[in-house]
Amino acid sequence: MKMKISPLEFLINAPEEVNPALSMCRKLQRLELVGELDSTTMKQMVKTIELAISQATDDIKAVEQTKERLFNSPSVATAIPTGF
Amino acid sequence: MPIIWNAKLALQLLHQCQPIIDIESAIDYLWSKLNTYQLLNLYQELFPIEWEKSQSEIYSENNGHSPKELEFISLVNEHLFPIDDLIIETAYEERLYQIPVSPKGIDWQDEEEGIEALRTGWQLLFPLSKSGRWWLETVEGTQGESWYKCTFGYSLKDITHPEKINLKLLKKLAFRAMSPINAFPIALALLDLETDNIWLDQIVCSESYWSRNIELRPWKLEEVKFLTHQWNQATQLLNQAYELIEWIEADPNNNFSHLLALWNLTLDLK
Repeated sequence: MKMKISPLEFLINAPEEVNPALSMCRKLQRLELVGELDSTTMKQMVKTIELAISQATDDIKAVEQTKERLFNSPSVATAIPTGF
Repeated sequence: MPIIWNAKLALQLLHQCQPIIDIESAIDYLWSKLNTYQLLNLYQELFPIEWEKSQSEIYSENNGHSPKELEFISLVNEHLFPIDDLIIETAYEERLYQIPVSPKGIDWQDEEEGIEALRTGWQLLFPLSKSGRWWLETVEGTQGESWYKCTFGYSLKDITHPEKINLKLLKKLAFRAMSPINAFPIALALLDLETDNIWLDQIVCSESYWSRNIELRPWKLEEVKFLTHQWNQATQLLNQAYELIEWIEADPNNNFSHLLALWNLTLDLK
């Protein structure tokens, strides 16, 4: 039998991760700061940045969808207070 | 750590120390860096000699293009394909995230310029092109038709409709003719925006330069090569068509009647 998970439990169990755009920014800032950006690195970076932007956009969409589902989910009591 | 030899570089490096904490700013930063790396990569690949000689700054003072990037954009305009002066001017303040493909064809549908701004040679060819014929027959009642008759002395009834013409045969016949008559089908394709060339087939119907909905292409090597090839082809087509227009204008009555004879010949040979 399938276990029914509440939206809250689902959120709690979801893996924690930083948006790829933010981690990519840090990486680029570090490279620029230490002066490690030569033409070869720049060429490699183009594809990596494109990928990070696309993953970041997907991430934002996923978060928005989850938020929408959470707001639209019916309120269900997880426990019955004593006396009821 | 790079050697800090001027204030600009110091500022640029300090800017890299600023933490980016919200996703929107992070994505903006990535788009701007992506744009920079794309342009600098293309600069090195397409103009290696100029890149070696260049002394321009690689860093920008604001979020716009750096002098090195602007130098590349100017080189593209100079050697590969046109980028409008107005767009280059704005590139000093706003990034060109994509390549603007400004229409360079015969823009008779433009609201400001319109048909009146066209050269006589082009106007004469109007009833032979599909869109020109449609304009003469439908726009503002019969005004288009009477304008053509008053200006050039030809009634539209005397000129076979372009839809009745065998275009393939016309191309064959024109190809066998001497220059500039062989550019006759090219000139018609330019009026109809049917040249299959990205620079020549765009319609620009807008109230101002900045509200134009022009085609944009990514800053990628294959795109730059494609646009360069298309621009070379476009200039050839335009030169051939302008030779024909000049020839028509040199003796409009006589030379246009030669074209009409060729036009009607396609009916006889059917």
